[in-house]
Amino acid sequence: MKKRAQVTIIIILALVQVTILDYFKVFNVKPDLLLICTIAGALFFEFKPAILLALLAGALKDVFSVDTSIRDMLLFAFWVYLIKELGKRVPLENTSVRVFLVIAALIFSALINRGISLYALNPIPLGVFLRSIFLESLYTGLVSLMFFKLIR
Amino acid sequence: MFKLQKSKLTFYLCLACIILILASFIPFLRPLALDIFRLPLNVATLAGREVRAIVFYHHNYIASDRLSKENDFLKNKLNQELELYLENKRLKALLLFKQKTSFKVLAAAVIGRSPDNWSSAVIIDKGSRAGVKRGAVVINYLGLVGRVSETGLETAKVILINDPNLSVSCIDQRSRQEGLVSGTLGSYLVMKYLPKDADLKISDTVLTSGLTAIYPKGLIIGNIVDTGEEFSGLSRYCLIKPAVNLSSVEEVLIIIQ
Repeated sequence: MKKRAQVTIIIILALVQVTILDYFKVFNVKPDLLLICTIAGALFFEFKPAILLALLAGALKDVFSVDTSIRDMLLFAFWVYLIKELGKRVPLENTSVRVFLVIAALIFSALINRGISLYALNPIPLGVFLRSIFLESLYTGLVSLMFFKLIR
Repeated sequence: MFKLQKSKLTFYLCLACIILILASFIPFLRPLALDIFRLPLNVATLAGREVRAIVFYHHNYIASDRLSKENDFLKNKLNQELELYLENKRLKALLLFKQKTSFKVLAAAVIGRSPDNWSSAVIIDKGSRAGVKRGAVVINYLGLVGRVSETGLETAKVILINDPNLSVSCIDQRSRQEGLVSGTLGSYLVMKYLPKDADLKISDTVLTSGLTAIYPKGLIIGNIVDTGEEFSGLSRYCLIKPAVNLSSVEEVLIIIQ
């Protein structure tokens, strides 16, 4: 896929996530399309374009977020690196494995967010955190399953 | 079903014919004649309709298709009119509030929301060029919405009051009990650090206390929906339903003075 098309798709997904996807919230939770795109990039593209796409997706997410740090940019790049290393040891062709990678990345990101909020002494209530993490991983997992089936 | 004997059938038919003939001459018999033929007329009309539907099937199909499309178009148009009406209603309320309030406010529309599920923020279409400053309080004609966290030239980010990173000092309107309200990412806010003997009742209105310098005193935050004790048992908390429906806010006012 041409680089221009990849970049356009990432930007469109970011805009969709910030505007339209709000109408598809389930219990205040929406799927993370940018994360799905990043994981897909790590699985299908070479290392350099995948990392660049991850940085772009993370940067877009950080720009629209409240948090002023570059947390998502770093995390997305880290997931790409991790998946590439994992791909050398374990086959990642199976759709279930790919969906599992998306869910695992989501859960670890959420745990890091929770850790940061605890450190900043503004903890998200545990019940809300567990509910959000469960619903978000389920919702994003389902969307990523449809996505990976579609591009197969 | 019942079996009608041939002789009886012949008798009833003859009777009907006599009544019909007589009805032509005797006016008061006409309603009786019509009553007799009501059921057969109904059955015949139904049968005629079915025959017509079969015979003119293609014509009816085309007409039905055309009417269905027209109906869909009209429904869509009605929906657009309804949207305009609702927007008009909201803007009128906002304008009325803007005229009444002593603050100098700037109206803005919500153009986006935070992309993650761990913060609650919106993006508005006014920035520093329009006079929006970082830290400015954002309200609505219903109550407090949040605070500006970042400004660009043409846009700004507003962190909503149901974000866990935002805390507002508040006061119960009835009992004047002070507390601290913060978000839970859900539909409710939580008012924490309340003493065990705090006088708080369900449906009490909670306002900004003015102790936090940024938030003017007296802005409505919401109403208490539930109270309870903290896990430690040392203090109480209460759940507050925000006055503003934060998940569907579309227009806001930024206090610029």
